[in-house]
Amino acid sequence: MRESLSRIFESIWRVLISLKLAVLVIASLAVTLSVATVLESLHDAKTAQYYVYRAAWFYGLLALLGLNILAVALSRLPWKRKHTPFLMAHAGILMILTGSWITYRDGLDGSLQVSEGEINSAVELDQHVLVMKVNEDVRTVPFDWMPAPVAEKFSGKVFPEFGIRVDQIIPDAEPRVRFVEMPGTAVEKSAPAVQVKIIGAPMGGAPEFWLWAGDAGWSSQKLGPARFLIRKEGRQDLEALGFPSGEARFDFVASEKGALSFESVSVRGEKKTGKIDLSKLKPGSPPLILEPGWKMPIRIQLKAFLANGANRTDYIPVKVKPQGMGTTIPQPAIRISLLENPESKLWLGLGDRADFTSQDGVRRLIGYYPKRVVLPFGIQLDRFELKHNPGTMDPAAYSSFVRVVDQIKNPAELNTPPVHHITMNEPLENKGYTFYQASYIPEIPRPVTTILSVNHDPGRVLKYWGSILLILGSISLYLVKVVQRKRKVEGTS
Amino acid sequence: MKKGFIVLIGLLGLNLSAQGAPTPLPGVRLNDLRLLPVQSGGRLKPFDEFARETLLAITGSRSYGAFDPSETLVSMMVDPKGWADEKIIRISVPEVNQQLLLEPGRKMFSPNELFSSNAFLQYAEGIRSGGKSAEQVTGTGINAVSGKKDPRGEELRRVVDRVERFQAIVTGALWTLTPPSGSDTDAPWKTFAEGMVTSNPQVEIAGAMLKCYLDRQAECVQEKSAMLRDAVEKSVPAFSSVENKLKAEVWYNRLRPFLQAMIFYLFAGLFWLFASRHAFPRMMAKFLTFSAVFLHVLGFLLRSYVADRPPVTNMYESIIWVSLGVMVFSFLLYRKNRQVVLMSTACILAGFSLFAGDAAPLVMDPTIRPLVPVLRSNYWLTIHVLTITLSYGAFMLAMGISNVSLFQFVKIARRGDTPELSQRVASLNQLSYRALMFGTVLLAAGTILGGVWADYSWGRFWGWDPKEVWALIALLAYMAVLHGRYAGWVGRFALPLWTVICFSTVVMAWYGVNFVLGAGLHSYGFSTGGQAFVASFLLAQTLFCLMVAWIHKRNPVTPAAEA
Repeated sequence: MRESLSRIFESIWRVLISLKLAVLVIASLAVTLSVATVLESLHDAKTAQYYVYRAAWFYGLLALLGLNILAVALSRLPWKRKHTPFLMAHAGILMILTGSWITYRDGLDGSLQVSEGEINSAVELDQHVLVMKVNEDVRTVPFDWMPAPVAEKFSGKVFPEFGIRVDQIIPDAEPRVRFVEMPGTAVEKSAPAVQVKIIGAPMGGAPEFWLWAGDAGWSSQKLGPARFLIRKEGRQDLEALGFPSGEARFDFVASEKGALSFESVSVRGEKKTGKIDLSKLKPGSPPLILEPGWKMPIRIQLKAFLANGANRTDYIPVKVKPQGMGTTIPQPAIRISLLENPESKLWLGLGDRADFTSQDGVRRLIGYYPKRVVLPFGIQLDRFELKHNPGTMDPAAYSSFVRVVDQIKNPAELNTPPVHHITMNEPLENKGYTFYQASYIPEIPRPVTTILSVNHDPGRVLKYWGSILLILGSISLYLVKVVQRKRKVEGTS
Repeated sequence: MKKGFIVLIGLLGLNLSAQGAPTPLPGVRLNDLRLLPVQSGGRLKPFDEFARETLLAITGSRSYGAFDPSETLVSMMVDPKGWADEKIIRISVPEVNQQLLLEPGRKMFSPNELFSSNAFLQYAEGIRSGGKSAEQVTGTGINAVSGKKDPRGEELRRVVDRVERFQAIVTGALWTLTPPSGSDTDAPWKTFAEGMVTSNPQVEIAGAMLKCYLDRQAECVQEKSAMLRDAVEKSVPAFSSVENKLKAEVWYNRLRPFLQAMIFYLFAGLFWLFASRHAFPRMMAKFLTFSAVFLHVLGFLLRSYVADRPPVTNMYESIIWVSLGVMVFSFLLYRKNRQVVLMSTACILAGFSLFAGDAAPLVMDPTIRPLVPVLRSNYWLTIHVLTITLSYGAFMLAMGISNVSLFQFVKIARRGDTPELSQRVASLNQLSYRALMFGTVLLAAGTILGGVWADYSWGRFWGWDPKEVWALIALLAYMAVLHGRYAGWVGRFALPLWTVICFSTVVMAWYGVNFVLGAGLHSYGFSTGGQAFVASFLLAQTLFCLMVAWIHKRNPVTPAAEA
């Protein structure tokens, strides 16, 4: 029994120290990696990471390479002087692999976004979490991204401690807002909403949009020289809203009782009001057209009216591959439902949160966020600077002037710490964290928000020494070959 | 579209009486005009370079016919009508001809031909209005709806850009003529067109020069351009610091060192073929090789001086460096082995590389541009990129030698394994093995240095970016071959075969990531074009390998000879 076991070990050992395994592992790494880059080209970096670079089997392959190298090195025991270059090169690779493993396990690689005059210490990572807040108790649980083919097969995941179930995930999603009629008793914020279609607009096409009185961003829409608006009866006066006069205005006015009328003002200030017969909105009836009485040949079709409308954000998958900087990268979205009420479905895009009251009357807050790590100190941005190439708008260099703020809660000390200048190749180091100038948020007239990449890498030293050993080792391997050959030539001649 | 066309004519009050096609003005000396400082593309450059870049953007070539490039621009400004009938606008994608209902198969069209095409005017309007209406053409060459690369849409956009650039030259909207009054070297200059509104000395002299050119008075043109150069130079902040650079750039442009080096290399390669038997070809070969390398190095230094950095940031510049690397390694190896076939291979490789770099200026832009922010760390950039691309040079040389070695196996199959052939294969393999060693050490070092640079400026030693991954793949591929040889599986036939095959990973890392995959952080080097050229090279290599392998297998050499 013991004999056969040792025989098995011996044959495993023989495989491990074989060059055949080395060549096989090297070749399969090369093939795997080339597939991964094609995957990245066809989809995106996240997909390549999911299937290859962050996949367990890939780490296994790297581990096998390390094991192979270690075994080969040990098989040369006892080491002699002639083994030095070989050992150096291979120990270098082992150190780089180990260092990378340490980086992967204990390292931190995220980004920190700070605007001028503000302080931030929350580093965002590219992992995602679900956050649940009940009263003051905050708990997080990882919920990572997955590519579309995996997401299609995703059959839901229950988080019993949160009382929710994630039903669906869209890896690359785009928000779509729709409005629904709420029952009058609902706690959720509701307000009148109309869906309109503008016919005969000078810019061509027939724009269609929603107006909703529940939010300033939704209540008005400017279209060429005309502005369309919805408001509750008796709330705001036309001029009081602060919109410039000289605009043509068309206001929908909703009364408390659920009736709807309109008030329109032309560019010249001519007013017109009218009641809207909502019974004409019933399905099957001809389109409900409103004449604003302007000189422009514009008519307004009222397509829907909700007396107690609330907005709902749905997410739909997008196919467009993100290209370069500046284009918005699609974010993932999840649909969750409450375990106690499976009919309650809710979409959360990355960065969204929702609150609800469960049956026991406890208010809960659920969020879907990038994972955050809070640093033991804060970074304050004094100034962001962007320089252009002469005579162009192409950025030539950008840099941030920051301060390290230790006591975030004590604003009295804000101005005492010294200013550090972080440029493209001049990072700032503090307490083991390094801050690099990574990017910025483009704004007009000038950007004021910097994006720093934050890094904490305990494997760095090992990687650097490994690199040095590897290079020195391979150079001496080469030199030894040259010397050997010289001796051989001298020996034969 | 046609409106802007007439503006300059009206403003200068030039009555256009163009008789036939524009011709160069005989006997005119253009030195002052060429040296005239211009602010364009984010840096200060001589008018000569500005003219060449503009012509490249319009015609796809850095000069036009018998014209000096600078004179071409002047001629365009005084005779827009004449030039509107010249076939100067390039359309490189045949599908665009079809789409614009233009004569199929032709590449060059005159602006007037395009203006009379309703289809062109419509697409131009669509592209200007944001690319939504006309076939979803976007500025990135990527279809906004499908997210796919769209060569036709991209070319269409470029054609519109070419026509607009011609118009901008004609109207003086492109020529930056008046430096700002302050001392800020980065402030934008006023263009000729802008200057005409307020009028300033430079614009007046430039107008007078154009008038002289219209009257075809060579002396007057020379006199006015000298005055103009003086007037502009005086108002450039800190001009003395850039004066020599402008001169060097004009010299570099007119000398065309890489083109000359290419010709010398190709002839040298031919002479090296006969150098083993006769003294005269050997002498000639040596002379030509040294001249070529001299020009090559001179061009490299001039370009570095003008650009203020080593030329290693795009495909064109890396070709220059890699082919120089090929020569360096061939010298190193030749010192020991004295193999003329090595020099012949190296010269032909260097010559063809420079030819490829020169042949397609639209694909591999030779323009010197300012660096994007991430690359502005000269020290690490230089070390990392130079090391990595130098390894490409070593691998290219190994690939060339291995091809010669493989060719010997065709001979072996025909004539049998003579000791002479055996000896030749052995020494060729020894050479390519050496080159492989150089290459792998440099590639390993360069890849790691890339990690160091990334760590230094982004805080990430390794981020699985496609460019670095492909450098790693190439390294792994060559590692597999070297270990295979150590294990004794890769013999005298397999070594050259695998060396040739592995070079495709270098092609991928060097060209493929930027031109085919188009993904990742190294996006500042991305471009399109040349796929057919590279694909046919790879295909020819594959076919050659398959053929040799088949011949080799059909005529098995005795095991004794194999060992």
